[in-house]
Amino acid sequence: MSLDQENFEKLESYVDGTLDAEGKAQMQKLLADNPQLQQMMTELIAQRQLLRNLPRADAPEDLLESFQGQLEREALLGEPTSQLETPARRVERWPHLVLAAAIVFLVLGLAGLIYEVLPRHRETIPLVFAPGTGVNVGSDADQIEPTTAPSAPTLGVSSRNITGFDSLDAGKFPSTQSDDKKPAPSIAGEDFGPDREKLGTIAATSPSDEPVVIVVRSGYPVQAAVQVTQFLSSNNIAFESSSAAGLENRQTSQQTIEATTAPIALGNIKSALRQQLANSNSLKALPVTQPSEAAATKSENGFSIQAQNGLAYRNGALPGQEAASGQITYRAMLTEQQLQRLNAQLLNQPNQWTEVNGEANGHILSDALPPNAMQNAVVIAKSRQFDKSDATTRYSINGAAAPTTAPAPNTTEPSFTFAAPEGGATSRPIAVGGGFGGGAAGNLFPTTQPTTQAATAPSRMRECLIIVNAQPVNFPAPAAEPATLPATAPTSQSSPASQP
Amino acid sequence: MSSVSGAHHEAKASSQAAAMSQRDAELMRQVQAGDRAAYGQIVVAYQHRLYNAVLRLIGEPGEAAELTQEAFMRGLMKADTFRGQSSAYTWLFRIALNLSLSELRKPRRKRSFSLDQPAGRADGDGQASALIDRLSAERTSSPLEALEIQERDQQVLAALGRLDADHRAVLVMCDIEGFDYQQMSEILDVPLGTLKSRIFRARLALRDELKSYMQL
Repeated sequence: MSLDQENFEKLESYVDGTLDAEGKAQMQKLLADNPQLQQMMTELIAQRQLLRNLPRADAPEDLLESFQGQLEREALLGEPTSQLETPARRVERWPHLVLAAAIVFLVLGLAGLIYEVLPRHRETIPLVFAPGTGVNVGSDADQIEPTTAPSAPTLGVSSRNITGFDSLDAGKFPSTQSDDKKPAPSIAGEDFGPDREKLGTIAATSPSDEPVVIVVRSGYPVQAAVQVTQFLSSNNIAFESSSAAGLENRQTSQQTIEATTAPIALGNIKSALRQQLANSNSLKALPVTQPSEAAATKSENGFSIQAQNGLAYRNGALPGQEAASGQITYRAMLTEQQLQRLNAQLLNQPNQWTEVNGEANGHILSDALPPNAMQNAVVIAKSRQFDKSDATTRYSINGAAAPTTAPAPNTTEPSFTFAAPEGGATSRPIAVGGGFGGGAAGNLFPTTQPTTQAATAPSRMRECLIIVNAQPVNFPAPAAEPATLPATAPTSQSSPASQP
Repeated sequence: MSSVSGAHHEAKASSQAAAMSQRDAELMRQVQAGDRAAYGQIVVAYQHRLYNAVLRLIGEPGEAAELTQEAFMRGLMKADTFRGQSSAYTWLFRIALNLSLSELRKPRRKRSFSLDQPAGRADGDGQASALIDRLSAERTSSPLEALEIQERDQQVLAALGRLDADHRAVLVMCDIEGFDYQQMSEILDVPLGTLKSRIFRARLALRDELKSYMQL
């Protein structure tokens, strides 16, 4: 008997028990006479049994929830059900979205590249280190104070805010301006992107007698300080740093690990891991720079091993120190390009320079600040990393600690001079080639720079104060009227109105 | 004694099925009257069964979940077309089957029905694998036996996944869902003869796919 469809149908009916008595008898006779048909029946029974014995899969737990979500969305938005975005449609749309996103990123990337590569055509105000606008280094003055009478502490960098610059001369912070007609840049509330632009704009358009203040506020400020230091060092930029209070990062969590004996099904390890850790601040919190990071990483690896034995680890988090503290201030001369590169470097640290909270959002301006107090300040980033630094240190361009007093200029190397501010503070040069320590030769600035910054020569060098702090800088309130501050009064800034 | 008991169970199952069908029909009437909560009961009642059927058709848990949700959504959209000539589940299954067949007929990469590497959802949920692991463990007393069952199920699913969509559909409907020929004919909207021919070819195809495994 051949294995045709008719025989197969009879056979299937026989197996199902749906044949009548006569048909059943006929089939039994056929089966007895035909081993091939017997084999077919055996295979048919086996095949049906195999399919029927397949396990029954339960729907995902979120299927019902997703469905209800769609219905709720319809109810809330008033969309007709037929227009709801169904999952199947979403699946089909993904490639288009990915393609569109790729095109957008490509265009933006090219635009950014072109923006960086092409020469700028914007009008640049020549920045000249003119008398009365510079700073001195190496003075014995104890406090930072303006040598010219500022009408208002516009920059807002006061001695009680930036402490530890014991060697800085009076007048290192130039006279501030209280011109109310100057529009105060609205920094607060803006994103990093505008800030990046703002940095260059300020450097190009601000009066050359004002230092550019860059403030990095961070809940984890030390990595910011490390970044700044690395940038300055790697670019052979001489700088001073001062930190009266050691930096302490905000510590959000402490990784702990505990084992659970909950069995994890084979083949479902990753999913089980996610489910196990879904309700804990576990691996999501990585990377953190706590001592337990290694252990957490280790446990993550260990999880895979243990999971194969039906065990999983659970990571937990303990609350840590919530508040960051400390402040460090760098002072250096940077070109616009260096400013922009520094800005970009600090901003482009997605793993380290992330938001601490929505309130900070990369800006230090607070309501307590006078509206024009930060017209030169550019908030660029904040970090989440951890370190400690509390010493007032000077660095030469080669990274060696600088002496407490500035050496005589190395006449054989390019150098520039911070001109004496108007008011007569002593001007001391900074040795460019040898750095503060006057050591081995090196190029602090590009060789195309003039050996000495002529007072009238156009320059794009700017004095920069890079403040990395854990708290908002407390700028003094603007004086109601212009006040003449005595150059030697260290506390005069705190009460300018009381001065004659 | 056993035949009496079997008849009793069949009668009981038939009675339960009739009660469910009556309940579903009432729920669908409520849905048609605008009661969405009634449809929610339908979804809750059949989500697992429908998902399992779609999963056996599609092979990928993530896609199966999406298609199941889509089927329920379309069922709600087309609730007015439910006439009560079949059960609510049969009606929903027909929607899900059509969606699945449309998906399977799209030119896409080859689908994998492997249990070792289930093509799960984006979050990597290997539900099918985990479930099979669990069920295999429940059905057996020894780890070795569980492993054998898992291997067997994997081979069967892989073979099922290599079949044509139409062949896969009739086998799922017949052996997994338990529809009879008449129901299958209505769901697929094909004559009974065509259906039987399709089942015959599907069984031969599956036999060929499982030949190497069955000979072990």
